[in-house]
Amino acid sequence: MRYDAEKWITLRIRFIGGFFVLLFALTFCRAFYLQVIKRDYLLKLADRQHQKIIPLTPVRGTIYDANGAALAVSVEMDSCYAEPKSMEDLGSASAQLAPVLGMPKESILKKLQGNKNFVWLQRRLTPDVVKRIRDLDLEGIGFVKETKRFYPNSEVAAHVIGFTGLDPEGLEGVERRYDSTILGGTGYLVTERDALGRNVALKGTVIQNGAMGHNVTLTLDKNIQYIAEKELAQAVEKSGARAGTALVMDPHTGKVLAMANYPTFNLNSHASYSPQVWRNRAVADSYEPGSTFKTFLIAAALEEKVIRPGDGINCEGGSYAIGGRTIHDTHKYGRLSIADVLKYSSNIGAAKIGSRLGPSRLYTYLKNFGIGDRSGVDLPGEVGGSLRPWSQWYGIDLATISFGQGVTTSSLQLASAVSAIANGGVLMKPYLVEKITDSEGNVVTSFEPQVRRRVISPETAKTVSRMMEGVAAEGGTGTNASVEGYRVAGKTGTAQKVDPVTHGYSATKRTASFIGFVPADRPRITILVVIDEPKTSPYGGVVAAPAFSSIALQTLCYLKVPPDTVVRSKPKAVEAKANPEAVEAAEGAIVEEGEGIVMPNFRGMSMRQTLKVMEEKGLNVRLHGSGRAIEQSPLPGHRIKPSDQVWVKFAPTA
Amino acid sequence: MNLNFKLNLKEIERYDLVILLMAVALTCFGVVMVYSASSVMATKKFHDGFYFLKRQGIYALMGFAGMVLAMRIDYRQWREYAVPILLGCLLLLFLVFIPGIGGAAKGASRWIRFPGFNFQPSELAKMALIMYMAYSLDKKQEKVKFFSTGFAPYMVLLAILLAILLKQHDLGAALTMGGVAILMLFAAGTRPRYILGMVVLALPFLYFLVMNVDYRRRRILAYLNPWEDPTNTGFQIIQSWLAFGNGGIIGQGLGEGKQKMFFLPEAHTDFILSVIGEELGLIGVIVIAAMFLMLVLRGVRVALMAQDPFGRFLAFGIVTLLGIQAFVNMGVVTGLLPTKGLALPFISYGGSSLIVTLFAVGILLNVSTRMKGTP
Repeated sequence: MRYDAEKWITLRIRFIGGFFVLLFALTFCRAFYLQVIKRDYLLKLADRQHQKIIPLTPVRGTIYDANGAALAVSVEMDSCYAEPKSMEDLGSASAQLAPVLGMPKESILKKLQGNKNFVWLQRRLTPDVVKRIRDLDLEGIGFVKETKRFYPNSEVAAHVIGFTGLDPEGLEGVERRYDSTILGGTGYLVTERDALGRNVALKGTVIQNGAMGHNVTLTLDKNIQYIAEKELAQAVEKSGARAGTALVMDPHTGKVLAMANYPTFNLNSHASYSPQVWRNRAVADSYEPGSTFKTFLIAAALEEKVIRPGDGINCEGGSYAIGGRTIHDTHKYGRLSIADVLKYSSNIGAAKIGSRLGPSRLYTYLKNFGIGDRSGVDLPGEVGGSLRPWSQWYGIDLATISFGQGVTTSSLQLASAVSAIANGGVLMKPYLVEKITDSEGNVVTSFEPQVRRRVISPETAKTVSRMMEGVAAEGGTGTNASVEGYRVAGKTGTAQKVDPVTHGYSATKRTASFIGFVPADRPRITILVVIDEPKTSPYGGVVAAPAFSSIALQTLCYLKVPPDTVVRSKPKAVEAKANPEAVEAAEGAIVEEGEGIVMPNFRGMSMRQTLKVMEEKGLNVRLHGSGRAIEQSPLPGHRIKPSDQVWVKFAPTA
Repeated sequence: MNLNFKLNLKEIERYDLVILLMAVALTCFGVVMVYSASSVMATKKFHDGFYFLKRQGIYALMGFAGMVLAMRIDYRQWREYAVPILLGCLLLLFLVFIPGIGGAAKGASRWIRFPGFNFQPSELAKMALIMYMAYSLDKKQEKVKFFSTGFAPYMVLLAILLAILLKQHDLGAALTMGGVAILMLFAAGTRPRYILGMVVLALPFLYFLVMNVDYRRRRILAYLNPWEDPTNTGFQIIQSWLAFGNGGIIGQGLGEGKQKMFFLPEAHTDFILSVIGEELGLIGVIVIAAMFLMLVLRGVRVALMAQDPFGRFLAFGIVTLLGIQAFVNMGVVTGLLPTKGLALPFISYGGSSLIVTLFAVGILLNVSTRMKGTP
């Protein structure tokens, strides 16, 4: 009996289970019916819902520089559309619209007669045109806000920012690389009345889909960018060159502070320039770096201890046969120290160091410096340059690669590699985007400096950078790069260009460059200036170094980097550049008149400058804090008696 | 109540892993679809496209916690608590009517307000009814065959419950509970003629209920012929069809649905399957339906193999609850059944429903650890 009941229960449960299978099979069939069999009918039906949804240009986020200055913004403009079915007289409407829109009457009429519910007449109109159309007071003509990309600074950082097409997608630069981040959701304009007779409350409203586009903040500083562009333009024009690139980087973090290319273009009218001009040469072009490469060679050789800083190299009097070829130096040298090989840029010296190091080790170090590999910077179109594996180096290759021929790099790679020497031996990944914020300003993503690898020891880096100081010093190839008041470490580069026709080295075409960092012993910035095919002189020390010097000086002042203690030229001039106000005080205020000393104006001076003035005038002042002088007692101009409490307060600057 | 929190791999294997997997997968999928269906609306209403996603995510985590808890509780213990739970639920259902505690939305007051979220006691009542019936049917054994002991008392209970629910304008929950109760009675051995008789008797009552309440009448009329009045009541179902049509076989792609933006009301709750149909196509719908079916069939297997009648009725009740809700929801959005407010289990937005559903699955899983032999 018990068994029987249970049998019945299980049977009934099975029956219900089967019933569910049936029910679900029914929904399968129903879904199939709707989505396959009736699909065309339903699609047609959806189309017949006269309530049309017109996609609008999505709103793009803003691109800011490091200080929050807008570099690319979206501005709202009116777009004009027509709903022909609610228009009375298409002919007269076209006639009235034609002069305002600047289109032939016939083509407007043709648009209106296209048997559509909705046509765009013209998009993104200027306010006066909008007003004139509104004044016509035509039935069936409407406006909706759409956005247009606007670049407030026109040319500044054009190659980095990039631009967008008529469709809203980014085509170049950051606009392209971060397109999906910047681009907002598509908005829709709801027009016409509903075929289903539904209330038309939605008519003419804009429905925004999803979030607004995110904003991008760059590491780029508009002011430094401007300095770099201005000086680069001058250098290119003065030397009659074809083009040029200038880069400013923070060597410790890999942040790109400025990336300038010349010729440049106005982002707001990019279409009127040749696409050649749009190319961001700093990342998209590679070239033979020439002598700037010697710094990496020497760094590698020192690290591997195949040379010591005190070694001498016989430079063979300017001509040296190797591998069946002869290498020449521009000047004839006998025995040079390692530092002088760099200072005078001896090819023979470099070739000899290269042969001591050997191909495999040179190759490994160059690779570690990032040569021949993309840096991974967040810009589109980066090239990796070319560095053949050492197993494919033949004959003279080891010698020529030692002084930067037969290998190509991009400007950004070169600047990153030199930054590794500047920061104590670590290769950083260069980057351009500091953070991404949403439309309300909340940080979505922020980017931190990324270490790629340690390349050389801090000691080697220090030694090489000290040697690089010789380049800009008196007698070096890069004296024009010197910056008054600051110690400069750098290297000139002058490379022959490969003729695209003959595939041999061109007799006349050169790439002249200067790369370095300042201040040499506590670097704040790495700067690279590359001048492509200069006419006046082929030498990096002549055409690129002065631009380096100007960019460095102005940027250091802008960044409020105090000058070095060791000043080669007169301290007066240094202070003039550092802070004109301070100089005036230092010069004029200390007038020994009658008894006692007049208190100088220390404000704005660095501690070193203050000490210098104190020393000169025999003052005994108490110093508090560090940085720049902000407060003092007594005030400037007061006479100091020996019994007076004299102090100066310092505060760190940004 | 004894809880055993010791968990090892062997023990996990004792659970019906297909059921566990389906429940977790459907819930996670639901969180994704809720976001897709609601982001536009949430941005407009709350200036936060993630509003519903965040909440549903939290509900899912709470639900998983509840499920694990239920999995660890020996289901036989529920027998002792079945009556108090049912009485508690009845009390909660009454609380809804007290001003200041209850909350109303769109003419229906079904919620008890808590800071941060509203709780819907009718969801809990579904589970309480199942527990009580399992307990009671087990106790009465053979006596269920008799009208006076096996049928009439349940009908009284059901009448009270449904009256409260109808007062709350929750016809969907009322019909679900009625359906679950009837199927459980049927399985337990109540004579089919009693059930049939009751249904026949209930029909005029139902007719009266529907036709006397304006919005329900319009819904039914809209179901019978949506084109008659496409502006309002027929609107939902037509827009849902258009969504399915637009989806086709492979769909428009996740997040690409358009109907949800303009035309589909309640896209993230009752009509979420339409969004799935538009964005993931027939394939998506079939996968979801198949997952539900698999869950139901595995659940039936648990009921068949349960070691005691209480476990059997409990498992069977839970299975019918899930199955009926899933089928009715799918039926409504595809136009097989008239429109009524009923969520798609696991997937539709809603905390009470999701948490109770996952808890129920937890109980079902616990029953599955104590099975005997072949089904």
